[in-house]
Parts: sequence; structure tokens; C-alpha cells
Amino acid sequence: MVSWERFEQVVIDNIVDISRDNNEPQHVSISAPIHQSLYLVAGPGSGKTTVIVLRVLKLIFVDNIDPSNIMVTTFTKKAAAQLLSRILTWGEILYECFDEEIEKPINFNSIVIGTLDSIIEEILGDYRDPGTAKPVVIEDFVSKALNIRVLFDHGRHQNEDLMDYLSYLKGFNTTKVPEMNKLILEVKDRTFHDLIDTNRLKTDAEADGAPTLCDIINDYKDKLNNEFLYDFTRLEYEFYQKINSKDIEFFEDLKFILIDEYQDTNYLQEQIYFKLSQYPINNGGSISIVGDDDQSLYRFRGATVELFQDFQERIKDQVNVELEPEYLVKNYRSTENIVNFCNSYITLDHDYQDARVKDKPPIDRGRKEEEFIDFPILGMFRENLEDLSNALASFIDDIINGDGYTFNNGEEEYTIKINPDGGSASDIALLCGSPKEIAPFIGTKKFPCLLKRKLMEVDNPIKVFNPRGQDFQKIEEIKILCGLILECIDPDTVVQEAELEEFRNINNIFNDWRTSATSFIGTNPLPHDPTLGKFVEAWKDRTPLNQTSWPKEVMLIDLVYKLITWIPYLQENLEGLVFLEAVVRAISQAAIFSYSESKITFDDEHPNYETTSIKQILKDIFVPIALGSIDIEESLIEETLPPNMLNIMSIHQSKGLEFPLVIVDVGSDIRTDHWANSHKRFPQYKTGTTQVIRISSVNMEDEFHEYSNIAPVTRSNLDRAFDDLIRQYFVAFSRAEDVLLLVGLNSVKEGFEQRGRFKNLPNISTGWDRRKNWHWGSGLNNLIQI
Amino acid sequence: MSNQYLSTRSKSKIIPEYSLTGDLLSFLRCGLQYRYHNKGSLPPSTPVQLWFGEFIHGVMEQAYIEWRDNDAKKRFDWEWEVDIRPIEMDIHQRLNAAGIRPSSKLFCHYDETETKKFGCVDENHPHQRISSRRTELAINTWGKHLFPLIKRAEIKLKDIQPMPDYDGKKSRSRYFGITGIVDVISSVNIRSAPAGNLILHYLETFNLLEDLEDDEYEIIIDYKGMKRPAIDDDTWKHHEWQILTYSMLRSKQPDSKKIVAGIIFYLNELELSEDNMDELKHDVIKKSTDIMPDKIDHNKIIRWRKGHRIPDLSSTFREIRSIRVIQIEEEQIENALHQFEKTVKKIESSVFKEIQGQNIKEAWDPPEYPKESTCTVCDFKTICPHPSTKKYKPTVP
Repeated sequence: MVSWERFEQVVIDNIVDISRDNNEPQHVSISAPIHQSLYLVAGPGSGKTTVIVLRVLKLIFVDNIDPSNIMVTTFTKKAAAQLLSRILTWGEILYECFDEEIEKPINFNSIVIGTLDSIIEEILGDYRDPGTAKPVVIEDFVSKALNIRVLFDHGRHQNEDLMDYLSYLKGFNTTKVPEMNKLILEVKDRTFHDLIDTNRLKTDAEADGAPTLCDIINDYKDKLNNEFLYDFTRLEYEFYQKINSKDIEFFEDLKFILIDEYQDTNYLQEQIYFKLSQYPINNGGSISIVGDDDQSLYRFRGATVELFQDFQERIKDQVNVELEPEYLVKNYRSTENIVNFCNSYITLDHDYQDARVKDKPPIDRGRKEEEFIDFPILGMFRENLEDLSNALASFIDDIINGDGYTFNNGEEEYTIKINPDGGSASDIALLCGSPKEIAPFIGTKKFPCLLKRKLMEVDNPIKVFNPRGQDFQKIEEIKILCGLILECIDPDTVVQEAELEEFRNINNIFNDWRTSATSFIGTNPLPHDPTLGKFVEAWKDRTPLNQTSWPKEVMLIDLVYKLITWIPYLQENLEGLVFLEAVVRAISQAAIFSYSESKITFDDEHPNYETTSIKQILKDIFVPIALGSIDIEESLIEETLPPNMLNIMSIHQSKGLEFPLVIVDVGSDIRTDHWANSHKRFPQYKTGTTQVIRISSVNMEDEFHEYSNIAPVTRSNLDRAFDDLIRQYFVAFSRAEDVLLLVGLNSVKEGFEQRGRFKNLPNISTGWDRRKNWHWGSGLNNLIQI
Repeated sequence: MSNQYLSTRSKSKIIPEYSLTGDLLSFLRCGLQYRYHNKGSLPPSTPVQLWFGEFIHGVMEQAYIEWRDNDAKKRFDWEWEVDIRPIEMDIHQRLNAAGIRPSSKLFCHYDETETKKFGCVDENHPHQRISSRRTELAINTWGKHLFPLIKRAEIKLKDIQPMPDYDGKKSRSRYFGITGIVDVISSVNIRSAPAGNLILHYLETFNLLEDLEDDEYEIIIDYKGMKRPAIDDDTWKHHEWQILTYSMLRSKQPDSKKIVAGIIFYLNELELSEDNMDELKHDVIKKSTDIMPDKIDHNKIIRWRKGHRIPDLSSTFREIRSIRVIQIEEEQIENALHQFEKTVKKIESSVFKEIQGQNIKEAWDPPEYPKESTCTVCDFKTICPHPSTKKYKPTVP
């Protein structure tokens, strides 16, 4: 055990300056006594990881808390791994310094750290009732595939009342199965998150589609129950019920809980945390939360930012803990200009200020002056997408391959250049509302697609990393692989046509895959012993090749591994391998619920086994893939992301990240003031309604709150939609370390002409407020135009 | 004029974590296979050994918990259908969700309500296939002696070590993490064990407890779903390194006592498969196993031919071959750690190559002289740049 003074000095000498003079809120947060609960409002780049890690280490070294009595939850597994790594690294440094002052070995690894879900999964497994099994948690693919099944049951995917209700909730026409499926799962999650009484919703809701929607959700829940499966929301709900019915030994000695990214907490999670916080409080410890309401992005996943804003009152009312907010405002990430730009941006909408934590101070530059050049904020706007892509590709080429990009601001000349010592294209990120390369339904090429192409055309091509850019089922190698599998297992589309006759769209997708496969076979790819053509023919004929007999069961995964022999991209390329993993995981996970067990059974006595298993494989694996049920998890790829790739990602994906040069798309596809794009720039009510267009999370909050215990939100749905859009661009702008560049079409910069009349284009990301005042003004002269 | 370069993006600060069995031992078998199966999470298509290893661990853990928490389960022998089958199904379901599935030959996972035959011999499910025969033998041979000695089951071991040859520019982290899971038996329970306890008998056979009567100590336990390796097989020494490293990890935990030994149970020895029998015959002929059969068993083994029924070997022979006691000594621990550090260094070097943009098959080398048995069951043998003896061709199906 060491004194606080000694701890502080050793940290200052060996790790980081935590003195009161350097950063008072940081000092106060780390040094607070064990029993003092904390409400930390941490602005972007404010070193909150440093605070969390040193708070934990202070509790261990100064307050003598056993690490196993400390629990820290974060938003992603990656964030948890980073936090633990920092605790271990700094813990080792301090342990060596305090070696002689400490009586026993310290096991930092026994800190309970992870996402709430991962911790719950472990606890429900380890502390289960005698005779019960550990929970089996399913992945997203299974959840979607199971729900597609439920939706297809009784032809409910064609139920017009259901479509109307979903379209109402979505604020947009929702009649296609993939969109219906996604939205139903979103509602299902919300029923857990907001503790919604679906029975009451079913009987009391006015909409004719509500009973069908509730039936589907209940059927889905029943399916999970019957198969003893859990998705993550069910896991949280189960845990919530368990901790409310009895004490769990695991928490008995808990002294400290810290929750990171609290602004994205949902109501169910809040109730879990409040219940758990009673353990440390009874043990003389405390609860701390860290977050930033201005960076809340996940209302669509059930997050309720108001729980963070009102934390002080809520914890007082429900847990009887009194605390004051502590504001971490020093920003160690960005230049002065970027910090000022973010401060100005977040305060320009007067109506937004009521949605923020009360009396919130502005962020303040903490980065040392001598460590950066204070580049002005830049803007690049062009007449059309082609010109914009050319200009941006040329700008990036100059920065990476050339002598740098030079521009003037008044008399001052600036040059932006990647650092020759360790710098690369991965220092640059383009952040967009959506990183999709092709527009859904209409199929036109979007900005990420054009930019990617232009960057490949420069003399020294620049590769782009955009794993979410394409719909998985439309990636050429995936089409070939899926087509080859279908050709092998279901020659001449016999089972496909018999089983999927009525689903013309799916049939078309399957046939498109088969065409890709056939063309690929026609190229006679290496190796040639046997050729791919011969391999597929042998499968079609059910004739053994290079072995003597045909076994009674064939694992589908085995066929996939053999087929990749002819597709090097899926064996050798990092991105290709991630795509392969996604297919294999889908096949593997489908075996949990599919009668086929993801294998084809051959039995001479029962020839129908073969047809049945193929039928099940098509329905349980390939129909969901065709309907877009696979999303690529970038966590699979980012650990070994090559350094020479430029990042394109959604603003949501960029949460928690920072880049030396950030390019924010503020309107590459906005030409006119049309209601159809208003959700991306300036939310409006649909004509004749008070329903917010295409923002389902906001619509759902209003539709469902009366069936939940959650208090109704006080701000209007339109206001909440504006608030969320402001937050989204605040997050985007604040990712930048050195240079921030806003890009878009001229229409968002200086307006557009329509039927001979000139109009401005209201847009939250170009300095408009919701009352239609344009603070940045036409021409966006607050930015240096390049 | 201002001219300064952009900052460089800060590197991820995650300490890479290695499981002794899942990572280090897998990599030692084959680097490329490790990249695909372990690092890349592509499940094996027919994971015979992986499935049974995980399965038997799960069954033994669950069986211990039931024995501990339920008085009715204190009596032995356990009946397969009544006592063991429900545990097997729980574990099967958990592994199923993780994408690790057995073939029907290995395990029947249908219950009596299933009316179809599928891969089984008939419709009378459940069938006690080889894995289930092994679980019954494992619990009734070792469980009854082992469970009363256990102090804690499923202890998670975790520690960090300095990254070998740390290089600020190349290395991902200053440290690497090393993890494992063990059961621990304690001296307290050993002393109160009734006479005739079989574990105690083997510990005494190795004279391990002679000088320790007054001290508190621990012994760590691990189960392997495999046959006892030959002593000239690398796996033999890898298992020893594993136990030695586990003992180091355990000794760093605040509630640990001195660790004097480790026990590995090779549970396939209780009921050999045809491939296991083939290997045993080979080991016996070459005298490359530390536990040789007596004359009667010897004859049975030598006369056995592939395709014939597995002979009934004596229970003593099967029992003694299924337990391996490893003594823990400081010097050996250091050597084991050093060996694993070398492995971590190789893995990190492959990761670095991959980060530099190298093709996966070039960044992750298969071993120079791979074992044929490793390649035969490998899902990637048709795309491997240099498999063991020959170039494998894709087969249909």
C-alpha cells in the first residue's frame, strides 16, 4: 500500500503528468477516495482512458483494493482489450517502482473487464443454477436467419398491415424482406432494452399491423427458448431478471464499478448497472461512469442519451447516491483550430443546448503548441461527383506520393504531407454517413466507389480499406463461391426450383451466383489436376473423384475448403480471408438451428435424406445470405490491417478512433432540398404527418414508450432527430488530429437552382441550425476552400 | 511558410494474448494451419481431435460440478444414460454453437424421440459411440478418485511476459499475454483421501510426496482427448512444457501454494480408436513409448491388423497409459518458458509480415518437415505450398 502523494509522484515521473496544476478535473477524478462515486463527462480526445486506467491503479495501489473486486465495462471488446493492455503495462511499471512497499503479488489480470454482454455471458455460465446449461449465444447471422424463417411462416412477409406498420415505424416504405427483417429485429431488441410489454402492445396499439409484429417477435423469442439459444438482448434480459431475484456470489465482494461510454447505455442496461452498483456501495466502494452526451450515436440500437444527461438525478432517485459531474475538457488529440471549430459547431444550434449536460464547459486544447502546425479547417466542394472524386484523389495523391499539398491562408503557406518516417495512407480517413459504394435499389456508384477507383488510377495506386463498402452477397468472389456450392449440391436447380418457386427475387440471386460460377469455371483456373470443371461435374454426377467411395455424410464446410483451391483471393488475401470466414461462420452457425446440421446426408435406404438436407441448406444458409444477412465485422480484419490502405468508414464506425487527416463527407450526394434525403442533413416531418422521416429509432421511442416503464422523452421527435444529427457530425469533426477537410457538392456550399429559382440547401453538417439560420453562410467562407 | 509532416496514426496498444494450447501448441504443429483455424477462426470441417478435446474437458468439468453440488452423485460408478448423457448433450450444444461438431461415428447427438437414422447404425438413439464410451470410462476410472481431491476446477491462468526481442518500431507491444485453464488438487484433500485412491497411488509411485508431508502444496491437472504420445514425438515434450508453464502461471496467483507436479490424463487410452491402435502398435514395435505392455497385451497389440476389432487390452495397462505425472522443477520451467517465447517470436514475426502486406501463405509458413498425420487431416492441404510427402489433390466429395 502506498500513499496518494507517492503514487502521484511516481506516475508523474514515469507515466504522465497528473498533477492538479496540469489538469485539475483529471487529478480530481484519479485521486477521488474509493467511496466517492464519479460522473465524468469526458469530451473528445480528453484522455479518458488515462483517467480510467490510473483511477483503477490508484484503487489497487493506494486503497489496497483487490483487482478481482473491480469491474470495468466498455462498449466494444476491442476497447476492453485496449484498456486492459494499458492497465497491465502501466501496472507493471508501477509495480516495479513500488516493489518494496507492497506485501503481496498483484494479479491485474483478475480485474473483471469487458463489454457488459461478455461479462454477463461469463457470469450466467459460471453461476448458473445446478443442472442447467451454460447459455449458448448466437451471432447476428443466426438471429437474422431465424427471424427470416419466422417472418416467412404463414406468409407474414406479405401481410400488408405489417408492411404498413413497419413503413410507419421506419418513416419510409418498408416492404422488402431484408428491410422488414432488419426492422423487426430492431423492434425486438427494443422490446428487451426498454422492457416493453409486448402483450399490451399487441392488444392496445392502434396500428392493424401491431398484432402480427408482436406475434413474429414472440415466435422469434419462442424459437430461441426452444433451442436454448440466446441473442445478446435476451442475455441481458435474463441477467436482469436473475440479479433481481437473488444475490450472485460473484458480486459479493465487488468494491468498484466503472462504466465507459455511458451515453450509449439503454434502459435495461441502466437498470442492471443500478442494481449492481448496490454491491460496491454496500461494501464501502463506489460507481463511476464516463461518457459524453455530445458523442452519443446509438439511439438506433436502443441507446437513450437522456440516461446519461440525467444521471445525477436518476442515481440519486434510484440508488441514493449523490454526486456532481466532473468535466474532462482538455483535448489532447486535436489542433487549436480543430478544437475551436468543434466548440463552435456544437454551440451554434441554440435549441440543441437544452439537450446537453447542464453547464457543460467548452473543450480546451491540451496538445502542446510546439507539437503541431495549426492548419485551418479546409473545404473541398465541386460541381459534380466526378470532379469531386478527381480533386480529392489528386489531393490525397499529393499528400502520400508527391511533395505534399500546398495551399495559402492569407499570407501563410501550408503544406500537408504524410510523414516519411512511419506515415502511410492509413493516417487518412474518409468518414461518411454510409460507406456503401453502390446505392441500394438504384445501383448508382456512390462517392466511396468513385474515390476508390480514382485512387487506384494514380501512378502509384493507393489502396482503400472499406470492408462495409459492398453488400456481402454481391462481392464477386462470394458470388462465385456460393454459385459453385449451389452447382455442386443442387445440380440443374432441381431443389431450388421446387422449394423457392414463389420467391422470384431469391431465385434470381441464386441464378446470378450460378452464372458467376459457370463463367469462372470457363476460365479454367489453376490448378488443373483436377480442373475445377471436372471437380464440379463429379459432384453433379455424385461420382467419387480421387477416392473410392461416396460417404454417408458430407460437411458443407468441407466442400467450401476444397472449392477455395481454385480461388486464391480467398486463401491468400487478408480481405478475401475475412470474406471466407464470414461464409464459413454462417454455415457453421446455421448448424445450430438447421435440421440439415449444415451437412448433406446420403443414404441409399432413404434417398429423401439427400433432398431434405439440400433443401434445408438452401433455406437456412443461402436464402439468408442472399437476403443480406451477413455483415462484415471489421474487428476481424483490423488487427493486421496493412499500413498502406486509406480508411473509408461510416461515422459510427469511427467512434473512439482518431486520424491525423480526417475527410468528412457533408454532402457528396445532395443536390436538391428533397424530402428523401432530409434525414441525412435536415430532418423534416413527412407531409401531413408528425412522423420523422426515415429515422426509425426516434419514431419507435414515441410509438412504444407507453408500453414501457421508461419515462417518456420530453423533447419532440423532430428535435431528437436534429440532436442526433448534430452529435453525429460532432463526432466526425472531432476525430481529426491535424487536418480536417469537409467535402461535398457545390450545392451544399452555395445552394442550387431549381426551375429557374435559386435555393439554399439546409444541412446540419454545414453550419445550419434547426431554425434555418445558416451560421457559416453561403460559400462556407469559414473554411479555406481548396 | 509552415511545412511539417502529418502525425502518424498511433498504433493499437493491445497486448497480444496467447493460449498455451489453442495458440502455441497449434502453431508448433503448423503455422499456416494455425493462421486459418485459430487466428482466422475457420473451424475444421471434421474436427475429430479438437472436438473430443473440448468435449471431454467440458464433460469432466460439468461432472465435477454435479459431483460437488449433488449428494446423489457422490456414488460411483455413474450410469451412462442416466448420469452422463445429459451432461454430454449440454456440452455438445455449447460446442455446436462454437462451430465444433462431431461426426456421427464419434458421437450420437440424437435423443430417443428422433425417428430417423441419419449417420447412426439404426433409429434407436442415443447410441453410445466411442466418445461416450470414453466419457463413461474417464468418469468411472479417474473421476471417482480425482473429484474428491480437487480444490478448484477451471482456474483461469493469465500473465504477461516481456515480448522477446522487443523492437519499438516492429513489435506490437512490450508484452505478450499467456493464458490457460487448469484444475488444481490440494495437499489438504490429498491427506484426507481414503486409502486406495488411485491418484495418490500414482503420485506415491513417482515418490513425489515423500518430502512434502508438512508443506501445503498443489498439483495441477489437465485432460487431453488424445492417445499418449510417443516419447520421440514433439507433442510429448510440448505437453511437458505446457504443464511447466501452467505451474509458473498458477504460482503467480495470490491464493496458490507450491506446485509440485502436474498430471495429464490421456483419455483416449481408455478406449482406443483404430488410428490410436495403429499408432500404439507402431510405438510398441519401435519401443518409443514409456509405458510398454506386458506379454499378453504385447501379443494382442502386435497381432492386431487395421480393419480388425480393437483388442481388449488389460485395464491396468489402459489405466497406467492414461495418466502421466510431470514433476515441476524451477530449471525446467525456465526452459519451457524459453521454448514458448521462441514460438511467440515466430508468430509475431508472421503477424508483422502480414501487416506489411505479405500474402498470407507466405507470411505463415507451414513447418519444414510437417508430420504426415497433421497434413492428412488438414482442410488446407490442397492449397498448402509444401505439405508433407506429396501434393494433395482435391477429392469429390
